[in-house]
Order: sequence, then structure tokens, then C-alpha cells
Amino acid sequence: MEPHLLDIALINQLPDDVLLELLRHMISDNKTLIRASHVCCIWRRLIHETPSFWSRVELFVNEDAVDQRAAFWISRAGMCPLTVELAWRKRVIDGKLVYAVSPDTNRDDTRELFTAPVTRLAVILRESMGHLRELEIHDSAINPLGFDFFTTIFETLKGNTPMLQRLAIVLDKPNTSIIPRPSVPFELSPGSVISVEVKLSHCLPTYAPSFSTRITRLSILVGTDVDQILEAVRPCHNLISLNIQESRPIRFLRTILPSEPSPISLSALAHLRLSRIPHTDTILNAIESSSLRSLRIEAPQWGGNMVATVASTLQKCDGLVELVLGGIGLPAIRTRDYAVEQPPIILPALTKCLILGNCSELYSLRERLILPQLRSLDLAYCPGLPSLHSITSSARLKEVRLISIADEMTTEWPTTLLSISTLTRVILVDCPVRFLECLDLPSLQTLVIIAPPRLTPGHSDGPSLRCFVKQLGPNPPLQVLLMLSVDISNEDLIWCLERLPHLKVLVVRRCTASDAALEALVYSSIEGAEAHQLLLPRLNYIELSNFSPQSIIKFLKSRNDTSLTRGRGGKAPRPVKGKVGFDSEKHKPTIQEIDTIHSLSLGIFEAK
Amino acid sequence: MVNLVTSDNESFTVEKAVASRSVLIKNMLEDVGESDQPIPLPNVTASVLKKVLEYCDHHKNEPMPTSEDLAAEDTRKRTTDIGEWDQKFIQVDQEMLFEIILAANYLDIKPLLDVGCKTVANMIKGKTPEEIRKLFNIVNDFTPEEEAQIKKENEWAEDR
Repeated sequence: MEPHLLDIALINQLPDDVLLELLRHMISDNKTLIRASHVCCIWRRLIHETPSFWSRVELFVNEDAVDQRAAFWISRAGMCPLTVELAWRKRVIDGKLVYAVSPDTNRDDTRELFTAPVTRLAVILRESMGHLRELEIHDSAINPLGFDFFTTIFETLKGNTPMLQRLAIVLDKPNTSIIPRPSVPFELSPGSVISVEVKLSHCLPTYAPSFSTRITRLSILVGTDVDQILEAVRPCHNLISLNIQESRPIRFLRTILPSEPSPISLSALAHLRLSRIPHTDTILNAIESSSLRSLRIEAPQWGGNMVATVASTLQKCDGLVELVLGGIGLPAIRTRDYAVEQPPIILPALTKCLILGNCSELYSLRERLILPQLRSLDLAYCPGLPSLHSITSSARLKEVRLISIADEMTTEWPTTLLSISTLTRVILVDCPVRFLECLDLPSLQTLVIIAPPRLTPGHSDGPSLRCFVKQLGPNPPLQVLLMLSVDISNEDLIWCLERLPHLKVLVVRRCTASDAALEALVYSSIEGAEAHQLLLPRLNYIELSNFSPQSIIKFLKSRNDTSLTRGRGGKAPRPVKGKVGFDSEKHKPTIQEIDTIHSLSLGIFEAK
Repeated sequence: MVNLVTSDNESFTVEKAVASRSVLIKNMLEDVGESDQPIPLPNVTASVLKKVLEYCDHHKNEPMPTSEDLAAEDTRKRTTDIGEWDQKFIQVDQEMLFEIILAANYLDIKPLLDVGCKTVANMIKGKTPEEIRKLFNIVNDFTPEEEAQIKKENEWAEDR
């Protein structure tokens, strides 16, 4: 460094553009922005002269001098596109919610106290409407201004919002059934190409026509009747994505039959999600759209009408790529006690399908689906046999995830192997491992088995895994094997690993196998030692728990300590990375052992 | 091979693939064409260039960041995650850290500049202005008027 710079801190000798780059990495929110601007004159000047740092304005409307803060921020942001977030700062004093301006104020909040600053704030914000890109309003249903807050803000801000791309109005969950319907008086000029995303919680605003037609993404979380929701959606003709979620707990849902709504044409709608809405069928019947690519219906009240409506919707959606049908989970359906109606429903473009929940209607519907292009299938809480049929009926399936599939063994269970040559990835969560015994998966690359933790020793999964590995044939391409809480003996595990020469990733956590299994994976480099074939020669990642520190270190040294592995030249194993866990009650490692494990490139996690 | 000469007149002969991690050198090589002429780097000392070349050598087989990558980085929130090797590489004293940042900026090696900036950002994370000054030996040079304004602004730095 130059001698005349000795008095200046090293960091401040960096040229402005480099220091600015540093500040950009440093400043992640308004708090760090303000703190960084308080360090020294150089930092303050750079920060104050860079408009992009000031483009996000976070304001508490009941904060002292909020209008001055807004003006300070906005003047520095210059013409940068602005994100403005408004919220109420709440405090609880003596068990009472208080919106006091000053933290020391302990008097009752009054409307008068808040009206003037909110009005002044809105006037400041109005000056920036030309470059407002995002507006987020977080409000409490019991704020001291009540509904006048919206009126004050929106009436002052009304007008053209040529850059607005996102509007969020997030209210606290109301105590009453009345849903606020504030008027959003924003306008967009007819030639505008801006599309707007709107996110709403517990409110259903009305919009100016020029604005509602620019809304392409609409997300609503609300607890109200379907009629009201549909009226809020109706003016938004150009929606591409619509997501509606019911906010009330199921026990509070009213089941009053809605009136039959007139159709709502949403010709561009590609993504539709309806979650926990009691009269989902009414919404599906009202929406007219043939362009759907993704349909998610989660936990409606499944019944005959609902199934018929979904079936009818699906029959109109040739282009559907993703389908999610969800019911209420737990417990799994144990037997196939439902009839499968006709006719079949063909979805020629569907590649991803998730059927989750223990509703007979769901699985009856699933069995009607013909999915020639299906690549990925998730099933949960379903009886075993239909699950098996679902897997084998899709000729291009690559990935399957089964969650809590019932362990029923009926006389209908297949006696011959079901071969699926395209399947490369299988994930079983809380499913019987013997499910695998009926499957021949010659292309399988990843197998994940997450069994429920067993409190008492019971049925071993080992024989089923042996049977499955045997069916994979010689030299199977399996590269990843992950087992959690699997009941498997050392002998069964070693037997399986001996037949998986391409395995690169091995995870054995909370399983019953012990040190003897790990011993089999130790590479012996002693010259002249009895030649034995190295198990898992391609292994490069492990996660292990329930093994002792000594056996882990022995295994790691044999694979990762180059002074030991060099002996056999080209036949030396690949080094492994990963992490190991110890149950501190059974196998608490010493500090020295921990250091050794770290030095051999492995991390350590707590495994209880 | 490429011959680089530092400000303190030391020569480094390195593979073209290593030197070309620097956009500045890559452009120079393209402009000059095949030549044995050494490339002078008047803003980089030998000790710093040695470190920079260590970084370039380690990352020589990685794809160069495209202009789309750089544009995307500007629009998304920056993270301060640093790869394992890079973390070890950048464990140097403050003077060397800032020299590496300067060199990365001059030589136009964006990924190295990012590693340096992220390291400084991580050092600062969660610290008060006073703690930041202490960390970097920065003098508080605000006037009393500025101090008064800063005091007013302090409540804006409260947690939301």
C-alpha cells in the first residue's frame, strides 16, 4: 500500500467500484443497509449515492415520523423500481394489543392518533407511483383505523401504476365471518404489457377493470363461501395461475350449498390449485378452461359429485401435464373396498401424478386414469394391490414414491414378477419392504427405503431385500441405496452389497445392522494378504449411524488414508466423503476419534 | 503456455487455460494472437498473483460464467455461501484478502471477486457499526451533525 494511505483502513483503500461490490454482498435487508451506512463517511456516501440499495421500503405505518422515513428512502431510491411494504407495529402491553406510535405511550390508541400520519405517508408514496413495482400491505383486522386504513391508503394512491407487477394484501386471520372487500383503484393504460401477480390473505378486493384484466397470477387464502370467491375471480379474465386455499379448520366449515354460478371463462389458465375448499366442485364447474397444464385439488370433500366433476374436468384437459389429487391422510386404506366406475379417462400428456390421502373415491378415480406418458408417480395412504397396478400400468414410468401404503397381502397378490424396465428411482416411505418382492426393476439406479422406527424387534426386512436384489440380476445399475430404520441383519446387508458393484452412495441410518457389516467394507491393503474382492469399489459417499467410532475409523482409514491404500496401485478404492452419526448413549466418540474422523474427510451429526 | 510479469518484475509461466480464467488476460491473448511476448500486470504483485493463479488452476476446468449468469445474479438475492475449497483458499490475512479482491477486480475474474466479497460479507454479518469499524480499523469520521442524523436513523435498523 502507498505510504500516504497508511492512516486509511485497508478496506477503504479499495476503489469505489470494488467497495460498492463488497457492500452489495454485505447488504441483505434494510437493517444491514442502515448499519452499513453508519460505519464511516466513505461507506455512507457510497450507500446514499446508490439508488438500488434503497429500492425496498419497509415501513410501519404507526412508527414515529413514518412519512419522513418514507421520504428519506424514496428520495435516495431515485427512479429505481420500488418495492413498498406497509405494516403495523404491534405491541402487547398488560395483555392488551397496542398500536401506540411511541413505545412509551401507554394510553389507549385512538383513531385520531393514526389518521394524520397514515395520510401523510400515503401522500409521500403517491409521488412514486410511477415506479412502484411491488406493493405489500400487511394489516390487522383490528387495526385502530379499521377499514379506513385501506380507504386512506388506496384513495390517496389511486391512479396509473404503469410498473406495478405485484400486489399483496395480507390481513391477519379475522375473528368475524365478514371478509373485507377494499377497492383497489389502480389503473393500467390499455397499451400496457405489464402482468400483475396478486396475493391475498383474508380479503377479496375489487379492482378497476383496466387492472383486473392485467392480473395473471392470483393467490387467495380466505375463509368464506365459494360464491364470494368466484365473484372475486370473475373479473380476472387473463389469469394464468389461480391458487385458492380455505383458511378455516375443517370443523368450522359450513356446508351450505352454493348457488349455481354462471361460467367464468379463463382461456389462458394453465395452473389451478384448490386446497381444502368444501365446494371445490362448484368452482371446477364454474371455471371454463381447456388450457390447464397443472391441476391440484387438495383435500376437498370427496364424494360422488366431486368425483364426477373432477372426471368431467379431466376429460376436457388434453394438455394436462401435472395432476395432484389429495384427500385427508392417515390411516392408510387397507383394502380395496371401492368400485371402479367407467369410462376410463385418458390424459395423453400427463407426466406427473400425485394421489395422496386415504379416500376410496380418490383411488377409484385413479384406477380410471390411463396415463401413457406418465414419468413420475406418487401414491400415499393407498391399499397395496392397486398401488402395484398403478405402477405397472404406465409404460414410461421413471420415478415412483410410495408413502404409507397398506401392508395387505390378499390372494390377488401377484405370483409372477412384474417387470418395469423404465423405472430408475423408487422411494418407499413407511411401506412394507416386501412390496419389492413382486418387482423386477432392471434399470433401477436409486432405491430409498424409509421404514417407520420400530419400538420392538419384529419382522426383518432382510429376506425381502435379498429377494429384490436377486431379481435385479447380475451387475445391476443401482448407484444409490438409502435405508433409514430398516430391520436388516449384517448377513443380509453384506449379501446385498456384494451384488451391487455399481453402488456409489450408501446411507445406512438407524438400521439394525452393526459393526460386522461395516467390517465387510474395509479394504485390506496388506501385501500378501489373502486376496479378497473389494466390496463396493465405486463407493464415494456414505452416511452411517449406529456404528461404533472404532469401526467407522477402521473403515475410513482403509478407504481414505492414502498411505495405506497406495499398496495395491490401480486397485486402490476411491476415497469416500459424507457424514457419520453417533448415538451418544451407545457409541460416544472421544475428542481424538472425532478429530480422526474429520481428518478423514467426514462430517459428524448427532444420531439419537 | 503464457508468461505473466508482475509489478515487482517476477515472471510466472502458466497454462493458457489457467491464465484465461482472467477475462482481461483472455482478451489480451485473443487480441495479440499467438505470441511469446510476456504479459505485464502492473497492478498485481508476485505474492498476490501466486495466490490468484492457485485459484485459477483449481477452477481451470469449470465453465466460465456467461453474461446470462451475471445478469441473473444481479436480479436474485445474493447468497454468502462459499465452497469448501474456496473457504480454505481465502483463509488469509486482511491485507492479502483485499489485495486478492483488488487483483480479481483488475484481472476481471468474477468468481474470485465474489469469493472475496462474500468472505468480507460473512465477516461483517450481524455486527454493529462500531464492531465493523473495530474489525477493519476504520475511523469514525462523522461530524456532530451527521452523528445526530445517524442517531435518528438508528431505530430504522431495529428488527422488524
